Amino acid sequence: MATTDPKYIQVDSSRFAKSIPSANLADKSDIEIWSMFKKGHEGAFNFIYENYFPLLFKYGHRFTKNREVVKDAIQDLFIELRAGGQNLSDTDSIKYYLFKALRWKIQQYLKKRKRFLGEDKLPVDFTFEVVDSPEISLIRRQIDEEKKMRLQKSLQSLSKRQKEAIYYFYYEHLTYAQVASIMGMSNIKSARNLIYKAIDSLKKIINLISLTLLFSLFQ
Amino acid sequence: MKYCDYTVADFLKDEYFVQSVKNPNQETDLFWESWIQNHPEKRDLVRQAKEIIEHVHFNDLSEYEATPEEFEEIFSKILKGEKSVPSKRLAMASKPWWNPAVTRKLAAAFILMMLSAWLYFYLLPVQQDADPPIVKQLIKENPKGQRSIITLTDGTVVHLNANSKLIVHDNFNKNNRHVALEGEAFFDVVKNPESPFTIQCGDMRTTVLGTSFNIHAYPEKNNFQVALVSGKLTVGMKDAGAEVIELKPNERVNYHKDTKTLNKERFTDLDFIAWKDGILQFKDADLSEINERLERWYGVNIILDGKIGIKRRFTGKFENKSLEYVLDGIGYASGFEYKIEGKEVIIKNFK
Repeated sequence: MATTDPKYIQVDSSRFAKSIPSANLADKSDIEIWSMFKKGHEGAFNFIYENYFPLLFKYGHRFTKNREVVKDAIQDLFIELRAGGQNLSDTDSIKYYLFKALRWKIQQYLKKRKRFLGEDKLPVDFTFEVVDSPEISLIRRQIDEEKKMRLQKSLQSLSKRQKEAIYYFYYEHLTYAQVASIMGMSNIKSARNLIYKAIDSLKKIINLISLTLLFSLFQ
Repeated sequence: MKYCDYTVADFLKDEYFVQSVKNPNQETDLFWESWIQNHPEKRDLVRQAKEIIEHVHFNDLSEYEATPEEFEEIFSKILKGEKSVPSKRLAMASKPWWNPAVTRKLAAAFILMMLSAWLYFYLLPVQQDADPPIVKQLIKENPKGQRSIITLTDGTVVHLNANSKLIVHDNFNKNNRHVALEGEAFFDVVKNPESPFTIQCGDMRTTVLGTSFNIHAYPEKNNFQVALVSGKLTVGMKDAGAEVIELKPNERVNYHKDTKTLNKERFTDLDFIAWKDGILQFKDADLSEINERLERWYGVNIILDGKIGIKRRFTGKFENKSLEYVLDGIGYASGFEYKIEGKEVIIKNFK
């Protein structure tokens, strides 16, 4: 595909203090960075923290609006990971590993709180927005407002689990296997089915949009 | 090859395709380029699937962004290996409620609550602010060059223009329907006679039951405008008791910030809300108006190179067009040429 869109890496970590020394590991693969981290390499930990903390912070808030719970969960998660050392399993996607671990941790905390405070259901916020990203806008805007609105409405009507799966698959570009694992499904097929059903229920609006795009190519 | 019979939906379900769009690398680029070369008839289909994937975003929870202080604080706690305090608090959950440690804390909390309630009612009785208390807010902000459509929890649809901010209170649709706006938005409000929908823009307040209308209220400008397309609404000031104007369809009200006055007028064409359909329209616009609107619409900076002697005003309409297209059009009519360098547009006279 021709263009990559850096906007999809949603969080700008440059906002955060650079006082923390972080090894320059940008050219290393996730497997390498993770194995350095497991061996107790502080530079690798700093690199992971700096690059994933902002993302995890927002991700955590998709499950609870309670800032303290999210902060506690991230803090405890990293402490446990650092203590885990060589016992941690390997991973070729740090993002996936941290998502899965943090999701589980927050759910544990919320369950405990629920028992204590009698709080109701766990809120899950995977709300969609159909936007013209500035990148698209400069080149061409082919999906008109009315279709965007319909697409948005159809997306909104998906189930919570479908939305969550779509978030991982399209927004965080994780694989079906990773989606299944994060969401606690026993096999990949369940993740596939979840997303297939979502796409099928969007078919009508997708066809409408592709028809318009096709037409606009000849204008 | 399996991709030959793929529909757009099939591409959207394909892991390799989605990853190629969202996280491309040399290998994926090469694969798709050569695949399209071998199947030129599929080029459009691939492009459509790609566009759909690129248009879908999740709300990015910008109001839940970590602060640099939080970043540092948690980092140093991790280094020290301090587990979070609430785990102690949470540990209480496993103790029965009649445990003395728990009852003591509950009693203390209860007394504190009564005390603060007393303080609230007896010591602070006179504050009469018509505004709902600002507890927590959800903020949707568009930078220049970006417009978006937001569906609120009551079903109301808001088209938010570029360089605009919509603030939705956390208790929206629970005991009120109150939002605040900076900039421009078109509202399609779901009818609910029980719960009026109010929009605050600076001192100006618009109250509606269920209608569609446009509000133009950029804080840096001296004029705000509310234009009603259908239904019924009232516009007034934040302070209760001040003047309130009722609008009927095809009427709009202008609010002058300096004089704090409201003027009503009728309108016949809907050009000024064309923005929500992706239409950029100029009517007898001078260069400064054109510049201001292009900057907002495309998220660019316009720089005038030397003295630009454009006397003629410009009228024209562009529907979902690129910046180049628009500049070509206006430049041709007004006699200037331009150069785009990243996010900057340099405009100069024809030689």
